[in-house]
Amino acid sequence: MVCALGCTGTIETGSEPPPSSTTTGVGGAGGAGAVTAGTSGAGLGGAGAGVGMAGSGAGVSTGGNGADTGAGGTVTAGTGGAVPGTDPGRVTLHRLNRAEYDNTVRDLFGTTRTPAVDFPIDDRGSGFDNIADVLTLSPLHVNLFWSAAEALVSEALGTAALRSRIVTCDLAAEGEACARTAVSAFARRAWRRPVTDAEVDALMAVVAVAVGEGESYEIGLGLALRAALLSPHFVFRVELDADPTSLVPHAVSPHELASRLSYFLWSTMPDETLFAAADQAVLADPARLATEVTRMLADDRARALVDNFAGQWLYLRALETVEPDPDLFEDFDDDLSASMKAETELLFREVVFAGLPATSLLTADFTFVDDTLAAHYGLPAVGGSAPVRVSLAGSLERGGLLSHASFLTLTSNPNRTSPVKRGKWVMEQLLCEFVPPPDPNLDLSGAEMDRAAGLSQREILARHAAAPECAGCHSLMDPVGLGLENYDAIGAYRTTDGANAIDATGMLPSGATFSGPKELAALVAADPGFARCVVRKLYTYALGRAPEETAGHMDPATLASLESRLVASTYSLSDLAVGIVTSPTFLNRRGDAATGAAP
Amino acid sequence: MTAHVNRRTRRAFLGGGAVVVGLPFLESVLPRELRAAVPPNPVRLVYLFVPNGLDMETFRPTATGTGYPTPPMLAPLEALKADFSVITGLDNPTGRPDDLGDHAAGTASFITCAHAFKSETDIRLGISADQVAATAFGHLTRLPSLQLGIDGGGGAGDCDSGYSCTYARNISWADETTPLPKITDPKQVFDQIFAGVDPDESAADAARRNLYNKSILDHVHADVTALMPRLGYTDREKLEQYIEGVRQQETRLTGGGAALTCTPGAEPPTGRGLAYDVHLKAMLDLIVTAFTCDATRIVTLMFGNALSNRTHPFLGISGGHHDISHHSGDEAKIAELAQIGLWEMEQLAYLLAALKQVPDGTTGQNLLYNSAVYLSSDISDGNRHNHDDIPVVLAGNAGGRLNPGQHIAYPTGRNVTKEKMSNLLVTVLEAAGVAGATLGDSTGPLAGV
Repeated sequence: MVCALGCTGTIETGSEPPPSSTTTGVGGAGGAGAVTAGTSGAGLGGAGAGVGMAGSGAGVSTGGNGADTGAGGTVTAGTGGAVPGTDPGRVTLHRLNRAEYDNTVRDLFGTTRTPAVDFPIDDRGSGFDNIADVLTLSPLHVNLFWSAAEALVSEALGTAALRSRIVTCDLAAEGEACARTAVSAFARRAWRRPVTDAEVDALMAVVAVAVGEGESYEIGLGLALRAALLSPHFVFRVELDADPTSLVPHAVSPHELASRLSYFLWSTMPDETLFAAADQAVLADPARLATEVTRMLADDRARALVDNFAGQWLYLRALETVEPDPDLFEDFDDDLSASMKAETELLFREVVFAGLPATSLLTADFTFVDDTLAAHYGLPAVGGSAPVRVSLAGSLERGGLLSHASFLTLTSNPNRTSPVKRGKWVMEQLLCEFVPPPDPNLDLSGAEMDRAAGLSQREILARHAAAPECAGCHSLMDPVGLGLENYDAIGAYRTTDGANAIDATGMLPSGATFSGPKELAALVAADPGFARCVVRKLYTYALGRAPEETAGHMDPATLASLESRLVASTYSLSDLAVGIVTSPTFLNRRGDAATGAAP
Repeated sequence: MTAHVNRRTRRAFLGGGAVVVGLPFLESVLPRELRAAVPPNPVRLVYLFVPNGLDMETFRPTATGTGYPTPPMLAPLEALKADFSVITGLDNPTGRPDDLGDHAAGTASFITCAHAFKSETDIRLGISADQVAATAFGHLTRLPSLQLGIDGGGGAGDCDSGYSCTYARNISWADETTPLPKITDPKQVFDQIFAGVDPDESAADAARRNLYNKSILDHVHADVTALMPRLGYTDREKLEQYIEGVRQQETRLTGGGAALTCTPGAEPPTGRGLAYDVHLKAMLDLIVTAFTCDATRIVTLMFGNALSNRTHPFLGISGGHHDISHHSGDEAKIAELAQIGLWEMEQLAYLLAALKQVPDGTTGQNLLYNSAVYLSSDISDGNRHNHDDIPVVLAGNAGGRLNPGQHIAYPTGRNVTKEKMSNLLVTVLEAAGVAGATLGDSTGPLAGV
C-alpha cells in the first residue's frame, strides 16, 4: 500500500518525514571486516563487561549471508549481498521523563506520591516522549526535582514502612556506620549501578555537614539522600563510553543493559533480579534476556507498556483532550471516554501479554465493554462498570481497532467525521507511511461549498481523484476513511450521514477491494507495511531514539531482521520484544564524534 | 551580541575539554555595563502568543498614525486606546518553514526570530527576547522570568510536518537547545511566586537551611564536574542544561533577587479541568500578581500551543480553532475566526486594565505605564500561513520610552524591503533598558515606536 505518487515529492517510508539532518555515524568504514574489539563502557565499579560488541545469536542479516555475531565477540560481516552496518548507534543522555520519574521513585521508596504530575509535559519525538534527544531540562525542572526530592525523602524517613527499606540498622545508636550502610545501599539503587567508595565518601561528607552542626545522623542522612536524588546519576540514565568521542562500538555495561531493559518494558528502574544478573554479568546472554523478557512481561509493572507505548502509538493519551461537540454528541462524557480507552488498552494487553498475534489488534472477533460502552455500541449490557470480554463472532459492525470508539473519536473533528484524518492515521500509525499536509495555499472552498450543499463525504472527497498532486496519497487515505464512515465522530454505528446513505465499500491502490470495515481491517493486517510498522514503533520506543538510515548503521538490517522474525512468529509482540533486546543495537553503543559545529 | 554572550561563552568553555565548573557564575559574569543599563523605574515585559493568526480584515485599522478609527476586533480596547499601538506590516522571515510546517516554525521564531532546525529530534533554535531581557535583569527578581501557558501538550501524535513538538509548545528559549517549558497550572504558578517565603523564619534557621542546601548543591556540583569530561558533545549539552538549572535553583535558595513586595493573597484554582476562559483569566491575574509582588519582571504566556484546535464553547463556536483558521473563504468560518480574535482582544484589555490599576514607580504612574506588553501570533492570515504582515498589539509606555496610541503600518508587497519583526522586539528590549540588544536576524531598533 505504498503511495504510488508523492504529494509534494516522493513518499518516504517510515513514520518520520525524510530527515533534514544527518547524524554522525560510523563514517565510511566500508566493507566487511571485524569490528576491532574496544574496551567496554566503563561501568562505574561494575563487574567487567565483555570486550567488544555483544551480539545476539540470531544476529543481523541482510540479503544472503548475514553478519555473524557472537556474545562478547567481534562482529564479522557476512559474505555476499549488501554489507550490513557496523554502527550500533548511541542514545543521548536520557533525562528520566515524567512516567519514568514517578515509577522510579515508586520503586525506589515505595511511595505512592507522583511528583512528576507537576513536571512540565515532556516533548515528543518520533511519536514518543521517551526519546532522549528531545528530553530537555529547564531550570523549572530542577526546581521541581528539588522540591520533589525534599518531599520524598521526608516522607520516606518519616514513615515506618518506607523507612525500613532505607535504614536497616539503628541509626541513632550506631551513627556513622549505620548512615554509611544506608547511604551506600540507597545510592546503588538510586543510581542503578554499584557505587565506589569515593562516591559513598562524598555522600557521607554531606551527612557530616549536618552532624558537624550538632544535628542528628537522621538529619544528615536525609540530606545525603536528597543529594543522591539530585545527582545527575539519578536524574539521567547515564551510559558511558571509555572514550566518549570514539566511534568504536562496545557493549553497554551490564547495569546499563539492566536499565535499558527495565525502562523499556516497565518504564522504571531495574529490580533486584535484574540487578543481580547485572552484578554477575550474565544478563547479556540471549537465553537469559529471553527469560527476563518473559518474566518482566508477566509482571504487573509491564502495564507501563500499555500506558506509555500503546498510549502514544495508538494515541490513547489524547483521549483526555478531545472535544466532541456537546450539542451534537451528548453521549460523550468522561465515563464514555474512559470506557473507550479501556477497550483498546485491554485488547492491546491481550496481544502483548496473552500472546495473541499483533494482527488481532485489527481483526479480533471479541472486545471489552462495560455497560457504558455496550450501550454506545448497541450491545447487550454486561452488568456493571467493569469491562467484560464479549464475543463479536459474526458481527459485521464491531471487531478490531478500526471499530474502536477510541480510534474513531481521536480521528474525527469535533462536529463531524473526517475520513481523511482516519485514513491518514491508518497510514501513519499502522503502515508507517509519512503523509505530508497539503499545500496551505490550496483553495479548498469547493469542498466547503459541497459540504454545505449536503453532498456526501464520498462525493466531496471525489475531488481528490481529479487532482494528480492529491491523488497519490488520497487514493489510499480516502477509501480507508470512507470505509469507516459507518462510525460517527464518537464511534457510534450509523447507516446514514445526514441525508446520505453510507457506502462503505472501496478499492485500494493495490486493486484489492473491500466491503465494510472488517474486510478493510483484514487488508491492513495482511499488508507487509503493518509488520514493518509495528517493528519500527516498538523499536523506537525500546531504544529511546529514532531508527537511523545512514550508511554503515545497523538499524536498517536490524529492522528488516525483526520484521522477518515478527512474521515468522505469527506476529508475537513478546517475541518481538525478545528480538529487540537481543539485537546488537540494544546491547551495544559507541561514542559521539559531534563537535557542535552548526549543522 | 552582548546580551547573551554569557551563555555562549559558558557553553563553549564547557565543550572545550578543560572543565571548570565554578558555580555559581552569576554576579561575576554579568557584564557591568548591562547591569548599569537597567532603568530606575524597572520596565516589565509581557509576551502574549495567540495561535493560528488573526482575521486581518477586522484587525487592521484603515488609517495610520494617531486618531485612526478603531477597527472591529480592537473595540474591546477602545478605552485604552492611548495606551497601546497597533503595528502591521512586519515580516518574520525566520518563521518560514523548510517546505512545510508554518505553525511550528512560526511559533519557534515568534520571539526568537531564529530559524528552527527542522527535525523531530535535533532541536536547534536561538535565544528568545524574554531571555535576552532575563540575562540582563532577571537576577534582580526572585524569578528571572516566568513562562505561562494553558496547553501543556497534546497526548499523542506529531505536531507539524516533521518539526518537533518542542517548537510548537514553547516560545521562550534560554539558548538554541533549551526551551523553557510553561507552567499551566495556576496553583503551581502561585507556588513558584510565593513558595519558600517564610517571613517568620529566624536568622539562625535561615543560616542553617542555607548551609544544608549548600552541602547538597556542592555535592551536585561535584558530580556534574566529574561526569562532564566523560561525555561526548551531545550529552554535554544535556548536562549543561542541568548545570544551568542547578545554578538558578541555588540563586533562588539563597534568596537571590529582590524580596517580594506583597503578601500572598488567595490561592488560585488548580489547572486541571478548568474551562479555557477561566483558565486564561487566572493566568492573566497571576501576571498582575507577579508584577505587583516584583516576583519577576518578565512573563510569557501562550494562549494555546501552535496549531491549537481547541473549541470555544463559551463563544458558541464548536469547530476547532485551527480548522476554522483555514476558512477557504467560507463566510461563517471567517466570522467565527473574527469572533475568536475579538475575544482574545478582550482578554488583552482585561490584562491592560488590571495593570493600569496598580500604582508603580514615580507618583502617578502605574504598572501598565511601566510595561511593554506584546501580543502577536505565529502567522498572519491563517489561510495563507504567511509570515509577513504579522499583526502586533504593543501596549504600555515602557516607563516613557515607548509611544503608544498609534497605528504604524510598515510597507508590504512585492519589491518592498520589509521591516523585520526582530527589529521591533529589539526596540522593546532597548526600551526595557537592554542597551545594544540583538535578537535573531535583527539589524537595529525602529524609530517612532
